[in-house]
Amino acid sequence: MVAAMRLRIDNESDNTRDELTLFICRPKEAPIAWRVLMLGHGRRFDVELGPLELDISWNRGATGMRRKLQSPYGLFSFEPDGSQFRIRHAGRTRRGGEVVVESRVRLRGGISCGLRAGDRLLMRYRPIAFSQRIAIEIGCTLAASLTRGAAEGEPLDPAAVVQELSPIPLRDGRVILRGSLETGYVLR
Amino acid sequence: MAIDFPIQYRSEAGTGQRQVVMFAENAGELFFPPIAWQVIEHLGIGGWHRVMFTSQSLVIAQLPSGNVATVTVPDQAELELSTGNGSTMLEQTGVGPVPQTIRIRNAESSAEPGSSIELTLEKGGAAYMRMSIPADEAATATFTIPRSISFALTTGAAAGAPLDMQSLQQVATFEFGTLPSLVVLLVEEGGTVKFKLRV
Repeated sequence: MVAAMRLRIDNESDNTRDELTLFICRPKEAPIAWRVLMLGHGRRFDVELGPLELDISWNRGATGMRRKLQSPYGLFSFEPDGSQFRIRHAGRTRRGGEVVVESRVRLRGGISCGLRAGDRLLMRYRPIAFSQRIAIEIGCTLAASLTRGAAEGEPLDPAAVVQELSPIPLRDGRVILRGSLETGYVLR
Repeated sequence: MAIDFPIQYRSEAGTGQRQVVMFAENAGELFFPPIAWQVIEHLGIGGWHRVMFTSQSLVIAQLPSGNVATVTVPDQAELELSTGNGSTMLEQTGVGPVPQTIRIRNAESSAEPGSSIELTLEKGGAAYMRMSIPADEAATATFTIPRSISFALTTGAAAGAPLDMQSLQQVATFEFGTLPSLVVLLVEEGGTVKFKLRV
């Protein structure tokens, strides 16, 4: 996966009602709606997946720290630095293609790790405690669905999904939404 | 403004072991120093903090008997604290003539002389302003809520506790104005760190 990716989405369908929601799938967890594009707002959307940032929060999501990532893999340690915290790049992971974060801080409620792309939330995980690790894997596809009532940055409610669409490869490119209410919609 | 106002803080510089505090300046209240509304710790470069300056305030009255009465009101309100049949109530009785002012009236009571009632305003889920009034005689507390928020660097602060004004450094106050939100940065400038509004 490249750290920055440009995707052009053209709407050649009759749909101007729904939203086109882009997200990364994760096993066993509801995805976060990364981009919610209102199809009624235009015919062309240019979306950039980058720059990537590791975002670690605590204090019930009120306080956090971010660090830009050059690439979507590596081992990071969230640790004390005097009375401050820091996100330190601690080396490579055994497996490629994932960001692993180890917590070396003691905070009530633990720390919640997430990834942001273009300053928008891409993924967020359940809190981890001192000495625990979380592995964040982006994968190589971006999932897409037609939705109604999805909210950017929030977990995607299955009830908001109108139709699932084919996943988009995570590389520079262009996809077109085609179809109609009668025949259904296709993204390719 | 009748809507909740988001305030964000971003650190683009280290604080050198100091805490960042957010507080309301207590305009006109000589005897009650500001309390720390938000205490932000551990943040180096890339840190952030978010809080909602809610348009309503939760008013909490703590009586010497141990009873607590609460009510949520907008930032312009007149309240009455009354005790009857063993229970204590805090009720809004009006809007009052002065904007950004919450006034709380307490009737004279048979509380022990010298005891006091502690009044706290909470915003965004945290204690924002606090003062005490005598419990045994008729008294009125007036909270003036500024349309601004202050930032400072300090040590030894605790959320909800009075600030040691002498130990605050780099104090900066930001007016809300007509902005929909406020983003305050801590930046390094000329060998020192200071708070700046992000424009």
